[in-house]
Amino acid sequence: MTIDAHLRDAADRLERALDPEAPPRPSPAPARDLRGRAVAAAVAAAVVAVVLGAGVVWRLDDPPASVLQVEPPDERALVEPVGTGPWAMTWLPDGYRLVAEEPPGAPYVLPTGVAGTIVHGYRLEDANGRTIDVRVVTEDDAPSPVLSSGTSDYTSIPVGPLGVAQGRVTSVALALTPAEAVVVEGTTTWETMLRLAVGLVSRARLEPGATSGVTVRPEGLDYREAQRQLLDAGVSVRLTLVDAADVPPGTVVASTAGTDAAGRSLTVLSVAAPTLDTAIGQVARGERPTIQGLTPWGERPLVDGPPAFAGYSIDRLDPPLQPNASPERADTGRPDVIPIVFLRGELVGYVLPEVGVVRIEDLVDPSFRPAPTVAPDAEPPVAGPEPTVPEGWSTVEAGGVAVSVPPGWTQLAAGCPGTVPATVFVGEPDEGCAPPDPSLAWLWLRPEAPDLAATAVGCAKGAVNGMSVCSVAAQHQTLIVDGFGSIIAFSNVADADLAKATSSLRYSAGIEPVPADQDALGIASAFVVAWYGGDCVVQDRLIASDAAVDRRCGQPLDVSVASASLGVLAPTGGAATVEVETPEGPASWDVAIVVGWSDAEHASVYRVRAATPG
Amino acid sequence: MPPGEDAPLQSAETFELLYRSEYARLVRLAFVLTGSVGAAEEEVQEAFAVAHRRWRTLQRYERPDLWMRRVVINRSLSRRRKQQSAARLASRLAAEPVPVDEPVLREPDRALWAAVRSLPRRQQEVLVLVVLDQRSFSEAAEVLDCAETTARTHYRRARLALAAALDPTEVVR
Repeated sequence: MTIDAHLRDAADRLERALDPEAPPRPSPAPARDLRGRAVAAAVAAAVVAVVLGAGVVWRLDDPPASVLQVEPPDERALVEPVGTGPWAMTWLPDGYRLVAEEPPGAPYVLPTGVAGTIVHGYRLEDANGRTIDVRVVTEDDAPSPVLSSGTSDYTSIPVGPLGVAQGRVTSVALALTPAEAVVVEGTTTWETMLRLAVGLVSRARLEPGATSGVTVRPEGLDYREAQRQLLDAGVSVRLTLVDAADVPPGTVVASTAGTDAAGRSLTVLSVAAPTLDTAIGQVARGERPTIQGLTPWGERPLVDGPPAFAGYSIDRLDPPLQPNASPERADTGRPDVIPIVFLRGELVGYVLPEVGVVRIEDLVDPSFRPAPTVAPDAEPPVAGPEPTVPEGWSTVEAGGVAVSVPPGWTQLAAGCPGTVPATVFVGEPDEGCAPPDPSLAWLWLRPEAPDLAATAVGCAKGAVNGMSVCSVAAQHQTLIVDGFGSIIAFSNVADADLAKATSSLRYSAGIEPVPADQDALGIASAFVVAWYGGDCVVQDRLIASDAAVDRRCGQPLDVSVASASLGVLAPTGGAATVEVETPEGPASWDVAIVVGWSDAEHASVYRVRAATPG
Repeated sequence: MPPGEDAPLQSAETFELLYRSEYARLVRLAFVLTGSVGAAEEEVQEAFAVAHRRWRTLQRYERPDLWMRRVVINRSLSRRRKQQSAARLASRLAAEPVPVDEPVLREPDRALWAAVRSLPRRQQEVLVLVVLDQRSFSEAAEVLDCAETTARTHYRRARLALAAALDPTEVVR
């Protein structure tokens, strides 16, 4: 037997070992036939997809499920009070602390600092017979118990000057009624999937009395909390990937493996939502050194619901991060992995080995402040004088949005659902330009700066931090232009991921980016955060009139805006004189606008709060 | 791609099609490189996760399936390096060896794949692409970003090394 035949036979046996139902390998021309089979499989899959219709959910091959069986409660037990000495802790969703001591222990501490009481003890057992202690802990009058794993793992990491211990507590928690059985799909290890299940499915209901077959699904997913827990716990998770089009926002759609500073496995989740939160994961993975427009998880108790948005910037890290010198990652130019410290759901710092915990609070730009919330009874801002468009500027309109643009900018296209052409190009067309999202209003402008026009070759729609943007792919870089034509960031590579803008160009009144004025996403951060926060601090950019215009076309508004002109929005809104269409005919109204932040949409919203016939 | 061969996976207009057609193959490829089914599945899934995020770009590629192979190979070899480091550390600490899950294979096959993993990196890459994944040399060269002649050279050397490493009574030449 030749080595070739030996390899072929072994490959065939391997294929069968991994997939017993796989058809025999064709021979003697396997390459061609297999490629044909791949194409056939693809065609068959396409047929299936067509038959099933749009929104096909794709999943990884179904791996064998592990059964996590909860046995009847053990005797009541009391938790020993937390002692002194090395410790680590994590916050549970209900505000409790889970403290791990050395040697490992997992007492619960109530928000008051008093040790809680274990009222039930459970034992989870996986298909291989391995067990994990699970306890349901509650205060006497707690409305809902917390199911949590009782294991913990203390790891010594340099403690910073503030005395914040960075520990690894492997426990996660889930507020639910006690269950008797959990079947987790797609598991690889019982431990990680348990965490995945209890960490992500924060409001899943597990049917009492069941012994098996109860499937935990990402229903009512609190992804931010889940992400925090997983990051805190250093959990390695394998996920079933699901087409984001078929799942609600917040559902995990991808994961990326990494390690934290201690070399522990870390998985960062990508969720089906245009959020800023994933930036945290990117930092944790070392893919980017900074977080702009970071959405922390708020200062309110986690159980109270989604936290309010607050913008933080930690782009001025001190001491600065150093590129990773390890051979495996030296070519990526990425910084070292940064462990991030959370306390009570709030990002409070990051850890540098030689320094300890560096508090982020000291680095927060005070100009970044929480966005205002549109309260139902909010007083509308007082309508002010109509701003003046600078001389020489022109106005372009689309979908009720009128944007005043400086000289040198040209409107390429604009539209609402149903009017968007399949592809729009900037400059010379390129292949494969993705069409704009037809569900969004959009407006593309082309900067006519000579240095841009000469290199721009293609354009693709995308989003940066949840904002619709246009990516202008140039020969050596990608410019990211927001919906109103501002250059908010650019990448130094032509084929950039929109979510990974590497730096930005300060926008100047002269339109041309000033290379010498680069700052790492500074203007992008300022723009995005300011925009979300309703504070257009980038006052030298555009005069954008999005008065009374929702981000989504066709969304009902209080008035139908025929045209509008509005100056730079004040932190909480602005005012404008708009031409409106009413049942009685056209009219001129003075309109006050409130800018707010929508937790549900994870986007800024604009609401007309008052309209007075002018 | 040599003339006359089947069209590449250009028909994979959707991520789903790419996944369905390539997942199992990539797992096999990753298994040989990592020596662990679980690790192979994880790395392939992670590669698909990366591809999913970059699909807007990848779908423009002529051969996204080859790009996937590049990623899977890199991830698999990187993972194995880490596993080897962990195993060495465990050995120094007299701890339990790092468990490796393998499918049920005959001993000669286990030895064969182990021998493949002992080859120099480039030889491993070419071998699994050509033999296991049944790529042409031109495709393997494209995946590995090298000349086709280079890929052939690595393949030839890999065969010789394997033949020398394996039991001569089992493998002739």
